[in-house]
Amino acid sequence: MEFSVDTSAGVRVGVAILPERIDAASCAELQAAAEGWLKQTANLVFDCSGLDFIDSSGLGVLVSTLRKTIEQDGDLKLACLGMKASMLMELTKAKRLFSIHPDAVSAIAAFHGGVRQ
Amino acid sequence: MNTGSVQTLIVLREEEHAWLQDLFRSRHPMLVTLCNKPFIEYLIDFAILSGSEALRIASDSPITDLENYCGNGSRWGITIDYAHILPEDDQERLLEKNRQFCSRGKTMLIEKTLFVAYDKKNDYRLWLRACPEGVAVSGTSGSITILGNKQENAIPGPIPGPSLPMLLTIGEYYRLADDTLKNADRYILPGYSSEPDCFLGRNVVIQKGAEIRKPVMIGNNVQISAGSIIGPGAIIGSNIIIDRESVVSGSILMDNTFIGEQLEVKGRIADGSLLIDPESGATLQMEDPHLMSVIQPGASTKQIIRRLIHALAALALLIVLALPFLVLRPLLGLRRNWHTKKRLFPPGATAKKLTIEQVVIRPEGADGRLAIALSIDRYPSLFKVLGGKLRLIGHRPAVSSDTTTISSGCIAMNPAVFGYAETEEWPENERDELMVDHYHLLHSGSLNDIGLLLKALLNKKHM
Repeated sequence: MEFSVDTSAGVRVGVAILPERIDAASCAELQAAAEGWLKQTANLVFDCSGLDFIDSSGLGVLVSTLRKTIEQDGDLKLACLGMKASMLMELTKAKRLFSIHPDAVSAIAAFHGGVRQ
Repeated sequence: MNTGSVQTLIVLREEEHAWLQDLFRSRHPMLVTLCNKPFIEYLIDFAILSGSEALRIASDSPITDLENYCGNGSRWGITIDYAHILPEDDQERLLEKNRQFCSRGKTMLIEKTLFVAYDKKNDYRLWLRACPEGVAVSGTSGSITILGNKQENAIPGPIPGPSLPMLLTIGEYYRLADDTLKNADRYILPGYSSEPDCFLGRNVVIQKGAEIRKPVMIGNNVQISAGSIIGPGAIIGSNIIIDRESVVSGSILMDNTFIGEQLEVKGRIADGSLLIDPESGATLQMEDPHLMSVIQPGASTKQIIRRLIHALAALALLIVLALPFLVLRPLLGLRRNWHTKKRLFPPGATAKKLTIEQVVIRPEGADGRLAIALSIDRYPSLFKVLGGKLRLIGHRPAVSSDTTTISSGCIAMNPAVFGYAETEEWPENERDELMVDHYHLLHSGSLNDIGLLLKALLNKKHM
């Protein structure tokens, strides 16, 4: 998983590109990586452009990461959410929890001002 | 010619509605439900409303499930029979093959059609009488042609006829279901309805705190848990469980679907573990059974007995053939005469699929010929009979080609180690084999299966 820190919005925003599949077998890897990213910044953007499949355990990691970012006065925004991931998030009502953006640039820009959208 | 009688000839071609079959777990397209009623029943309804006394279903592929469902038509008070056609048969050839059936009087030929939008309040006998010979209704999705209507006293004036809505995509299916539910008074729909826009099936349990909003249709054997909200615009099939605090609105739940707790199904079609967005056609195959899954309908006693007999016979074969297998298998491997081929069953299936490993033994040398004669190539598959995944005898896909033509879900859902076709010597091609398989799938019972198995084992074709 690629991770970089962007400062164009005036705050440190960590941008991670999620893998193609997040399921019970791979979610532990994402969870561990997210712990490391959170040490660098509480403002995260998950680029989901390559994400083709996510199951409930993967969704659990996303929600858990979101909760941790909020606890640290940050946020987790999702960008380029595909149709399959979107369907699962609508089904489980998880979509309401996240701010979702069409691309990573707009997700980063949304951190400008530091207000959770 | 008896000009008084009316009959309907429904022509089904496998390729026409393949998209529907692929999407809905390899069910025959005519058995896919629209508002909890299989498509075939809408055609039967319309045939009856038009005054038909006999109905024939002519298909270019095996339609075992459809035949089992419709039977001889006594449920509807109409005579139903079946005919086989070839995929290349044109209308002329088709009518030639069914000349005797069509010569009884007027014939309504329904082609490429899944659904006829009718209004039960209309008298379609008058419409049929007024229709001149030729194509009476046509649309992108099919046509209705009237044959043998040469009566001089055709009734003048406009008489409302049926229409054939476009039905080529899942989006159109979704919109048609919604439209049918909203215009439910036009159709003969299943379920009890004490008030408009609300249909309830048998054995529906709605727990305290659950809310039902019209328009809504609920099938048989449905459990709706506390705190759930169903509707508006929900079509709930049969054998469904909706767990607590879930919302289902503007959606279709196909039969045998479990919806987990606190979920929100809005504007979707759910079929077992498959979630479909009708607008984009996107599908999501759920891997979390606690979210959505297939409810397996219980097997009947007859099926359980049949499965048990097949398993016992497979066990006997495993014991008898154990020694020959242990001796011949390494020999064949060394001589590179043992080859395996993995096949998806039914071919092209995306859901409810079964991977079958078939063995091909080259008939070279004494060991190869002996192994074939003893059916050693089937030995590894026998274990799947014990697990209930395969029948011992049933339909066996040909190993000769990758591009098998078998894709009709009804027959393909009975995969087996030995094929009924192997009991006969005459089948020359896959089509012949399908005919034999089809016959025995309809007529064979548990004990007949054992006799046929012995015949298949002894058939010199395999020696």
